[in-house]
Amino acid sequence: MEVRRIRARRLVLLVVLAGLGAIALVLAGTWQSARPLTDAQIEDAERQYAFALEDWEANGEQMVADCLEQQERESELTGGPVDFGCEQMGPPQEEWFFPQANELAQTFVPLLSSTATLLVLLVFAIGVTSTAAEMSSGSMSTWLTFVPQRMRVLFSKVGAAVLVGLPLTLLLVLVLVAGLVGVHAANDALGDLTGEVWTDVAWTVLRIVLLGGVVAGVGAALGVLLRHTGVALGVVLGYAVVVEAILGSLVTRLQPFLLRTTMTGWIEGGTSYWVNECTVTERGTECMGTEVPVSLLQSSLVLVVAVAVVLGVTALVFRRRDVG
Amino acid sequence: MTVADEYAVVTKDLRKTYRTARGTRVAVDSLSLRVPVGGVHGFLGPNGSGKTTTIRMLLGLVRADAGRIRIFGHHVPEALPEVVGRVGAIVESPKFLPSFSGRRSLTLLADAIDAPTGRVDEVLEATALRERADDAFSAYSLGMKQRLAIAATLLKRPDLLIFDEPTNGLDPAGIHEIRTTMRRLADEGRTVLVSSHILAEVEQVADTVSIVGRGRLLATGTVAEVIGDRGGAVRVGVPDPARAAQVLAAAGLTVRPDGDRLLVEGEREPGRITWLLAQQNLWVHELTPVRAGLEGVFLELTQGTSLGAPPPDGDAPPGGAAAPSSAAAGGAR
Ligand SMILES: Nc1ncnc2c1ncn2[C@@H]1O[C@H](COP(=O)(O)OP(=O)(O)OP(=O)(O)O)[C@@H](O)[C@H]1O
Ligand SMILES: [Mg+2]
Repeated sequence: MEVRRIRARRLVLLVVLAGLGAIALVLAGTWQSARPLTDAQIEDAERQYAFALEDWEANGEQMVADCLEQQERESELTGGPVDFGCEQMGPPQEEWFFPQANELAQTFVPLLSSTATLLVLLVFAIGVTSTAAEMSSGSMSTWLTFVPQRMRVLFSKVGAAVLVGLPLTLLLVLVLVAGLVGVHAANDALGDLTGEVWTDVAWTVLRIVLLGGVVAGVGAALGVLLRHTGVALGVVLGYAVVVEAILGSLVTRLQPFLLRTTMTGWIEGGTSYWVNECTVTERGTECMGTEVPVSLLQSSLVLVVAVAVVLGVTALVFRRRDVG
Repeated sequence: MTVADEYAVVTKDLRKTYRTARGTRVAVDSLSLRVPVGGVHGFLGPNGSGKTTTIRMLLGLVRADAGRIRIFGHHVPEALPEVVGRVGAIVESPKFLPSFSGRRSLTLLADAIDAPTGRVDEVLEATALRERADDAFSAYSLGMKQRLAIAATLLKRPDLLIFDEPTNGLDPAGIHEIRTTMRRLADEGRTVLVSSHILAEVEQVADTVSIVGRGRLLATGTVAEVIGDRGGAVRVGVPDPARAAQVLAAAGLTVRPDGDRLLVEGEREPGRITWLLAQQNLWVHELTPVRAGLEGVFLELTQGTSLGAPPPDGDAPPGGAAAPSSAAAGGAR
C-alpha cells in the first residue's frame, strides 16, 4: 500500500525517464568508441605510423645517446644510480597508432559500474522525495493521526522505498545491459562473451540492483530526517564535495571508508585505491604509489554500517520529533 | 461515573515550550482542560495562544514537556494506538500530498485503518466531494480541501472530532456548512472539540467552552456560565452623565462612558441604579440591560490584565450543573 503511494507520484515517472535518458547518453558514448575505424582514420593512423618510423630510423640512435648522456649527468649531480630507461627505447609499434576497438567482453563490467552510480543516484532521489514530499506537505502529520506508531510508519516508508527501488534499478540496469549489447553487436565489437563474462555481469547486475534498493531506503530515511527533497539532496551533495572529494584526497586513510570506494567495491566485487607514501631523503622527497586492494567483504561491511547509522539516527530523531 | 466516562479529553498541567533561535517560548502553560463527552466544546483563544499546540499534543504530534493527557480514559501519547481509531482530527490546514486526488488520499488512509472500501465513497458523499473526488488535491478550493479533511476524519467513525480552526478562509456559506456539520456530529452523540479565534461561529454552536490566552486557561464552562459569571452591563441614560458617573462609582460600580450614555457593570439589580441616581435627583430616562456576548467576555479575558493571569485550579471540575464555572478566575493574582 505504501508502495502504491510512491508509484503514484508523477515524479517517479520523471526520474525513470531521466534514467533512460542517461542510459541513452551513455550508449551514445559507447557507440562512438565501439565504432570500427573509418577509412580516413585508418589512413591517418598509417600516415602517423610511417612518420614516426621514419623519425626513429633517422634519429633513433641519436635519441638513445642523448638519453644516456642525460642519465649520466643526472647521476653525477645526485651522486647515485639513476635509471632513465634508455635501453627500453625502440622503434614505434604499429598498434600504438591504431586505437583498439573496445570489445564489450573486456569493458562490460566497468561500463556497467560507471553508469550504475548515476542510476543509483536517481533511485536515491526517488527514495528521498517519497518521504520528503510527505514531510513538507504535512501529509505525514495527517498520516500520523491515523497511524500514531512512529517506528511502524518510518519503517513501512523505508520498506516501501526499497520495494520500489529494487525493480526500478533492475529495469534501468537491464535496459543498460541490453543497450550495451545492442550497441556493440551493431558495431561487431562484442568480443568473446564467454559464460564467465556473463556470470560476472550477472553478479554485477545483482549487486547494482541490491544497492539500488538499499539506497532508495536510505533516501527515504533521509527524506524523513531532513523533511525537504532539496535539503536532503543538498546535504548529500555537500557531503560528496566536503568529505568524499576534499577530505578524502587530503586524508588517504579515509579512502577505504569513502562512499566512492565502497560503492565501486560493492558493484565491481572489490576495488583498490592508491596511497602515495612520501619519504624525505637527502635527495629530496620521494613518493611511492602503492595500490591497496579493497575486498567485496570490506565494502559490504562499510555499506552496512553506513546504512545502519542513517537508519538509526533517523529512528532516534523521528521517534521524538514534533511533527508540524 | 468515573472521569473517563464523563470527559472525552482531560488534560492536567499540560506544558509545552518551543525552542527557537531566540531562546525558548512557552506555548502552553499548566493547561488543564476538560472536554465533556457529547456536544460541541469551543476551544477559544487569540492568535498564538497555544490552541494548535495543545491539539498537536492531544494527537501525539508534539510531545508535551510536562503534564498528562487522557482521551476517553487512555493515557496519551502512550496509549494513542488504542484510542486513535476513535479520534478524527484536522490540525491547522488540511494536509495531503498535493498531487494525489482526494479519493486516492482517502483510500490510502482507509487502508491504513482497515476501513471497508465502500467507506471512502460514503464519506465523499457525506461531504459533497464526490464529483471532484478524482481531481488533484492541489486543484481543490480551500473549502474543498477543508471538506476533504473532514471526510478523512469521518473514515474512522470517530467518537471525538478535533477541528482546529475549521472555518479559516471559508465563505459564509462554508462557515455555515461547517457549523451545521459540527452540530450534526454532536447530535449524533459524538464529541466535537473545535478551536477558533472567531467567537461568533463558536458561540452559536458550542455547548461548553474553554478560553485560553498565552497558553493558560482563562475560563471554562458552559457558554451561559462563562457569560453569566461576567455579569451583564446596564446602559444608563441620564441628563447629567458626568455627575451620575461619580455617584455610581462612589457606590462601587464600574462605569464607562458609552456615547452620551453610561455603561454600568457590577450591578445585577438594575433597579438599584435607578434608586441610587434618583436619590441624587438624577432621573433616568433609559435603562437597558446589555447582555454580555461571549465576544465581550472573550475580549475582556484575553486582553490587558487578564493576560497572564493564573489559570483556575485544575482540580476544580469545570462546567456541568454541579460545578460553578471557573470563569471568574482572572485577576486572582
Ligand atoms: N514549531 C514551533 N516552533 C516554535 N514556536 C512555535 C511553534 N509552533 C508554535 N509556536 C509558538 O507557540 C505559540 C502558540 O502557537 P499555536 O500555534 O499553538 O497558537 P494558536 O492558538 O493555534 O494560534 P492561531 O490562532 O494563530 O492558530 C505561539 O507563540 C507560536 O509562535
Ligand atoms: Mg492555530
